[in-house]
Amino acid sequence: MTDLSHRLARLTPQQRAALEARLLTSPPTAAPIPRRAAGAEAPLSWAQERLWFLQRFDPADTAYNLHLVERLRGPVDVALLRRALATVVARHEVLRTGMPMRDGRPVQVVEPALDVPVTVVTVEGATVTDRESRARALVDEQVNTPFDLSRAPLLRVTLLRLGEDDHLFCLVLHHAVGDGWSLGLIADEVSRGYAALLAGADPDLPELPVQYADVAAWQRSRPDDAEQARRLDRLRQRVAAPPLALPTDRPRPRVRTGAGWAATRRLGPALSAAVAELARAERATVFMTLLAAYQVLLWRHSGQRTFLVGAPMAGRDRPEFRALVGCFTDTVLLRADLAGDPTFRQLLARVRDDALQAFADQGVPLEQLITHVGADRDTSRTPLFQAMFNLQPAKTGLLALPGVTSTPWEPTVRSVKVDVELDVNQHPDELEVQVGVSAALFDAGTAHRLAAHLATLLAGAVADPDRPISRLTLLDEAERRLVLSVGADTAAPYPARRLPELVAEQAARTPDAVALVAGGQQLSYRELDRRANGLAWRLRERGVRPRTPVAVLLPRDAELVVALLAVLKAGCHYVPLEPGHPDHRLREIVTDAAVTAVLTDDPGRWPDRLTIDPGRGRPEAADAPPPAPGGPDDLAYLIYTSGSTGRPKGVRVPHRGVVNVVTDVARTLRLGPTDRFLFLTSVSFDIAALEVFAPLLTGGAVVVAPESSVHAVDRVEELVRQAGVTTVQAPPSVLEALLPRLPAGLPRVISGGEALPAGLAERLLDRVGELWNFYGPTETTIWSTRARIVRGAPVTIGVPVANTAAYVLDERWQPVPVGCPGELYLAGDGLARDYHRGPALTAERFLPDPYGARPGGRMYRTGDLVRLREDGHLEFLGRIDDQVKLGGVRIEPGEVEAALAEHPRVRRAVVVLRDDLPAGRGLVAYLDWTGDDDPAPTLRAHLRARLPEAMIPSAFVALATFPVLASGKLDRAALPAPTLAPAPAEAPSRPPRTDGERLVAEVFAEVLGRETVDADDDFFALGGTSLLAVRVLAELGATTELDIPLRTLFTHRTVGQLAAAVEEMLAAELAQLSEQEASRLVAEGG
Amino acid sequence: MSETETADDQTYKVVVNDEEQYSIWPADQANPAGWHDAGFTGPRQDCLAHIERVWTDMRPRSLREAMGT
Repeated sequence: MTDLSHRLARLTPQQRAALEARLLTSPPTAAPIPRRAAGAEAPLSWAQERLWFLQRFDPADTAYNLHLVERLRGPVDVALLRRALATVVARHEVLRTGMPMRDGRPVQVVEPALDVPVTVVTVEGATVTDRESRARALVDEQVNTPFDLSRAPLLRVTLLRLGEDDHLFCLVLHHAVGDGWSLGLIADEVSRGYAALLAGADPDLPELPVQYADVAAWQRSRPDDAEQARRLDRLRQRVAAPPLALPTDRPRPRVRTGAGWAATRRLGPALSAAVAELARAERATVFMTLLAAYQVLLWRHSGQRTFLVGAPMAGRDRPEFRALVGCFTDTVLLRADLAGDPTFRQLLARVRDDALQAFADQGVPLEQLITHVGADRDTSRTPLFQAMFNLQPAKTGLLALPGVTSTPWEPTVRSVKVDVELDVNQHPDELEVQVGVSAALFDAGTAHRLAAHLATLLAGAVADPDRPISRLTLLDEAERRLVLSVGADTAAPYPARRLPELVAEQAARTPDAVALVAGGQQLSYRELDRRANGLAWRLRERGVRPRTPVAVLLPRDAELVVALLAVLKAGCHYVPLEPGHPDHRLREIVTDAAVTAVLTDDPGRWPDRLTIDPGRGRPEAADAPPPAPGGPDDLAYLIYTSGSTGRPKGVRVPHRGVVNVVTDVARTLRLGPTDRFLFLTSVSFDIAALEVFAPLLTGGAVVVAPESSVHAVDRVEELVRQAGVTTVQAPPSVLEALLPRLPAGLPRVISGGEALPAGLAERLLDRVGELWNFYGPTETTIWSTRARIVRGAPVTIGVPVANTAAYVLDERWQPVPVGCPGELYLAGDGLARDYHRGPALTAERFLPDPYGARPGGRMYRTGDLVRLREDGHLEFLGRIDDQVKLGGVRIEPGEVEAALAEHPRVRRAVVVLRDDLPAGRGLVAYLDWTGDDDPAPTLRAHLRARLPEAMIPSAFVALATFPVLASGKLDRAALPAPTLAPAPAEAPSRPPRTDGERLVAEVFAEVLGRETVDADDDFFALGGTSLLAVRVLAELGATTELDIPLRTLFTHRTVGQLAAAVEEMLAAELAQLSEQEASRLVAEGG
Repeated sequence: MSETETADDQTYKVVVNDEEQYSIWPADQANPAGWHDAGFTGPRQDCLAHIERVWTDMRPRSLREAMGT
């Protein structure tokens, strides 16, 4: 290929154009195409077969309806137009062709004579606007109505009459009988016939050498020669690419549909000229330059550097094809290779080489290739390629009727052939891009954004072709401002003071209100404040200086809360320790933090440390704390989190961040004096600070749970009832355990710490007043974003808390577009000061904030993968490190989990990617499964009806309990490796048992040419193809008198599954019969 | 992200803000407002190692001044 590009580089533009023209139209083969006997049936061409299959698969699909819609201004003689059209229909057999089935195969049947009606509709309406919108609706209806391919004609013609000399000509043709070229031919021949008739002559058109059916028969009878085999081999390598998996706005349905929407954007003369100029300078074409930009666009959205783009080509490489109406187009598969971050100029060279090679390898019909590589089994995606690109001259009026001006008219297209299509129309002085996207996968706004990104990206590429493609900007100023403004308007006041001062103020306002409930004990605000003052004095007296760390290692009772507050009152910051943690971890933290004292009820355990036991010694109470210097930027706590390295790292958090988030949560959740917040979380986690300080700063009460998180499950119901708890905060895995015990009507639940499954959210909403989903790393203080979860709406992590900004950035710290996954960065008042004793780690994770208003500000790199939704809410996708890619496809385990949770017997599902499976990497589903049977067969079938094949786990493991960390969060590392389950292939064969299974097995065997087929045999695994699938269903349909949708075999692939589906349909059919019909059938023994 | 981190052959510079907090920034990009060059450029790990050496008092400057030390 490099050699090729060198030789190409030496060509003049003229030589080059000539070469490309030759490459696109290989020299005609000498042997003429034989004509078949007049009126004889013919097989379908390869292209027709593909289209026929697609229509059969989804009869409602209109993606392959072609249209010729033109506004005719001037006098139109309808009778002459009808006659002119009839002449054309008479000339081209294909316009009189239907494609019914014969013996389970489609054939072309030509009607000897056929009248294609021209329906004339007078468009009524009081005003011009009324008539125009009515006309649009009528045309849209014509264009978006599917055809039944079994019956001729596969075109429909309507003439809308808007006025005396004002008409809309609307011709809709199925792609199986024509293509873009054909529309031009039809317009030309109709025009010439009309002109002749108008002049009183007979239409005079040259005899056609062959008919389309002749071409199809010839194409299908050509033997596969050695050249063809070589081409297939080269193409097999070319198409070895993972499917393009763009981030979708909605989960990908199990079976794709052709519904779509589109956005159009003009590039303007300057940019359009610059594109042509760059193409010239690089000895490439505009096609290649646009394709390169399109590839960059798809890469930047999908993260994939290798994928295929299909581009339609005229396919009229023999002179005799040029006069024929019919489907000649073929698809060239262009392979994107974006490895190594090339510059745009370098990429263009790659695209040029690849395109020339692809054109040279053309000649294998797409359908043949799909069958050859067995790519037609995934019903959720189109085979081989999921993106298309087409460059074409902008439409001009094609009908040339004397005295009539015709201009093209664009109907609203509501279909799309693949996931994403780019059509570029070349107007005389500018390019117009139209991006079409699947409506099942994407919002309409995504099509608009893709079009805008392509325009911005192209402008950057032509302005600086030597810029690496990773540096090309996708976002225009408006979208850039939008994505960076998440949280820009969150400014809200909070007291610029330290926590203990705020508690003391509350105590002064409501001294007698209950501040703390622990066991049988209650402390008023006055008591809490005075006891904390006393303990703070004791710390001071024991020589603990302000601004030093003090460890707190106490059981969960009132004393723990008093101690936390006392440390702060002494001007120190607390290092909270969980008594349940292993000794070595506690010692590691105490040493690393270099605490000046340990507050503990077991001083003997710390012989080498200054210890203070708050429960012993003189009764402590004081009206005021010891004087302590400092302000809101002094530290409140030093908390250790597990790092990815396994060594805990200390995060140092100032009062400012805690006061900010507590103030925000109190305001958002409307917390007040009547609220009682359950202190459930282990004190060693930062979110425990919310459970303590949110009530204490708003006059409510802290209700101390005697055990933390999951350990408190059995006590929670009693606690909530007896202490009147109004607010419970826990991670979803703990909430799952708590759910059955939560008294109905609990006002508020906060979920946070891990992704909230939609199923759990729904069940929680059944029981609780308000459900909130919070998100935030320790490094940005407790919680940084929040969402109120409501029924039926997607679960998101919402919007940033007050005085916090959220950026979704790529690897180069550039904002990513709406809807695209990126890493979340957080900035604002919640940022921790640093990692204790970790200058390098701090510098690495707390980066300069290039987007904030405050000079010198920092942003924290979360390591979490999120995306910004169109509604401005953030969606959590997982850890960056856990990104799951399987077979090149990005998989969201959450999506699989959600689909599993829809099964009534699944109480909880966790899906992870493991490397230690017998077959290497694969997804494993861990389940809380009701019943003792193996969940695999049931769930595999359940998922097959919902998810693409690649997302179906290779193993299903039922667990009695899920392993959890001290926090109550799921301990992913402790999930057991699945034991070797017998692979389906090794399962003992099971002969068909029921009547239904025997019938299906018989049909499978006949169609596949096998002796026997077992009940668990998969049709496609036995070599079934999409066309053979049609035959299977035709035969089954004939026997059962059912119209079985084609997709049934793709979702029910084994004999047993298909038999069950057919039996279900029969039962449903029977249920619809009237009593009389049913008894008659039974009487007949049917 | 592993794709990026293994392929991170960018050159970074050590930058510092008015609070004398250190961080890193791509060498070929202008500093964000309020950040200044600290006089060290190199691969990411070298920059971080440099910061580990020089950022010995991690207190923000304003706090250090308030504490009078």
